[in-house]
Amino acid sequence: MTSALRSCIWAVLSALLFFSATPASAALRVVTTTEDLAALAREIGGDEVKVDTLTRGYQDAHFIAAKPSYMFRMNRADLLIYQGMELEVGWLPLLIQGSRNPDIMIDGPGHLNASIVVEPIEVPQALDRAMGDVHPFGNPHYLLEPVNGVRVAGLIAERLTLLVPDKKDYFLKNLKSFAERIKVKIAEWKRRMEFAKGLKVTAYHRTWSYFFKFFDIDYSALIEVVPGIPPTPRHLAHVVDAMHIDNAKLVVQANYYESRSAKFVAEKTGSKILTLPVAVGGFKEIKTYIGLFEYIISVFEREVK
Amino acid sequence: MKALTAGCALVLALFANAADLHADEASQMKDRIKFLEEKLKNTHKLEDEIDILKHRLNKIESNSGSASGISVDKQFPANNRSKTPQNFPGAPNSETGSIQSVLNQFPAYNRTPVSPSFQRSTASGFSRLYNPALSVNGMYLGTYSSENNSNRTAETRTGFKVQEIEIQATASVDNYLRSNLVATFEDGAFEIEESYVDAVITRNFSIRAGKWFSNFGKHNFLHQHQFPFIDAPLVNANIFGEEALNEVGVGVNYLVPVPWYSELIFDVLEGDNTVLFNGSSNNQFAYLFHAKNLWDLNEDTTLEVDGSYVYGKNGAGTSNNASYAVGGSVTLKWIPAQLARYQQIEWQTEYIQSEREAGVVVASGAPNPDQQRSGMYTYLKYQFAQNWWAQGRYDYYGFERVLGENRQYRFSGLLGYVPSEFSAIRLQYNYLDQKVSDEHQVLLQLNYTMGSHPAHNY
Repeated sequence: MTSALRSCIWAVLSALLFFSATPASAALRVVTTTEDLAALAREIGGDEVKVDTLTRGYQDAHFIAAKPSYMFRMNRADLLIYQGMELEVGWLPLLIQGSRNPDIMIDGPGHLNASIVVEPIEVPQALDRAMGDVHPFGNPHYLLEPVNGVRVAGLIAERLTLLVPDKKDYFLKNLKSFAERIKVKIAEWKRRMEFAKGLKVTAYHRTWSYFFKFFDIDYSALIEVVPGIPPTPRHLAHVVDAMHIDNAKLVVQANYYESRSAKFVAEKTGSKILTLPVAVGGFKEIKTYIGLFEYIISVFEREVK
Repeated sequence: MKALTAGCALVLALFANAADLHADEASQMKDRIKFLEEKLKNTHKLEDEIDILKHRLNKIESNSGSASGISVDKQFPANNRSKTPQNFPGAPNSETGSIQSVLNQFPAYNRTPVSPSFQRSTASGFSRLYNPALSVNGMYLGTYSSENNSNRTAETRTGFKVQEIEIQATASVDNYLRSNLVATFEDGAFEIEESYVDAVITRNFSIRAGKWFSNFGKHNFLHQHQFPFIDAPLVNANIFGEEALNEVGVGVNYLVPVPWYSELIFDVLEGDNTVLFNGSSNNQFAYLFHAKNLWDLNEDTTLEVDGSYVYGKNGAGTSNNASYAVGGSVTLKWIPAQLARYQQIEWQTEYIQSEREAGVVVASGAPNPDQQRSGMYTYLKYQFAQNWWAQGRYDYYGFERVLGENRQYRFSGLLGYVPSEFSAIRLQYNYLDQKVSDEHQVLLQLNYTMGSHPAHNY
């Protein structure tokens, strides 16, 4: 072996050593799939965690490209929190495998499926691809019901306590504070959304089921043909008919869908379109989980009341 | 006669009566079955309740592990690696006034743990729940070609064919291994295209053993249903053959701890590829090195740069003739974060060259000239609506080529209609210039996936 080659190998090895020996920060490294979970993890973990979210609130969590750079970010995580119920089925399994991080694999201590504490709704009675991208375990958009946020916060507090036992009191204190604040807010939101009870609303996708259930709002029609399949002209005509029958005057949709179909339907029925955020970070100014509901509810108050 | 008629009537009446009786009995039996089934259902419910109570009792008695009433261990199989939360030192003792009591302020917090009834059936000894994820990919192809129409075996010829049927199975084997199997039917032949296991050894290191499409460049490792165009690039087909570089072997895979995505692969392979390798003795292996780097240029754009090198022996002339192939690729991808469903651009360029030492001329002892091959392709894929793709490719083979081979270039245009993630209809036009005669090809492909198919790599 020539000395040039040898020194080259040494240079590479020492570079690797340098990078791998970057001082581990004291904070627990948490990676979440959605920005909602990141906000909850920050509420509970406070200064004891460093939270990195893979997707942003303005992205459609069903449709994320499994970029290798995500694997790189997950490689050093101590804890992975994901929404589950197959929301991330199209990309997360690849990333977990590719992260080569035993801690966050399915049997690892840092693998946390947040959906285990929620009561799923819309669990399909039958499964067939002809029904579109149906989630076999129920609707995964459960964080749009504020009580589920508290349940998940509790789960996160529990897991953080297991991972950093001596910060137990700190996590508990944060959980208490979060719970107190959101409890007051929930009562307030219920009061403010009183006017929306029984409203018939058309949506693009069943993103809003938990939110609607919580505030007693009903779907009128859905713009997509079946989950994941974009509307056809004939389907849009049905939507318009259904809205006429229901006397529905409102279309809501997440801010990551095309708006052409919603505009068409709204024009034919004289409805209003609300383009809403579905998660923290859906719009720039939404930075906390409580802030998400504040935002959505104030849009309803402003545009619908 | 009268008596006979009366007798008949009597008999008939009796029969009718008997039939009534039967009907009565049947309905009674049905009722009874219903009643018993109902009862059985209740028993199941009771069993569930007992399970739940036992579970809770356990929790209260042990008073350790989980700090709240929420089951953590549900996520963790009983016999897992040593680092499970249950064994964590200092797992918190649940004191009253902890997480659960905070949560108790919210009505409907205490949900009933579900004890799935399917877990009870142990009689048969097998469970369908552990079956691997199974999927079938089908590709049907209609071709028009301006040439080769008198040749019944030409690769591209006018007509219909089942291009390929792929059957894939994926599952974790145990808590160490994960396995993948791809079997194909093509032209009436059944073949195990891939069968391998992967294992993460420690953080950043994983190993693979089995048979798989080698990680050489960006195209070689793709299954046919993932091909960006209906056919493979000319350079891949010429350097590795129609079957691509698909070898049996073992390999390690290392995620380099640098501040971007960087992956190194080293494989020891059997070296059976008939075009490039196929050495004359059994201990002549092929060695593959692959480096892949990916940077996020911004939220929407990634740049990937790959390099690959594979070295082995070939069987030309006398033994111990070396063969190698080296290649590099650059891929730029743009997927707008907010409207990822609707738009996407991918630009990929790859160059590959190979060289085979060809031994000596037996009579004179003079060395045969080395066989060199090289070529490249570049393509652009553009998704312009949720269901539509427009693509273009330029292909070239023969910067260097073996005596008797033609320099070839090809222009391809493709329009894809993708109604869902599980099906696509693609229409492709090729203009192929081979120096001998120009060729026009029109390909129409239906490509579908049924079942539970693992997500594709980025």
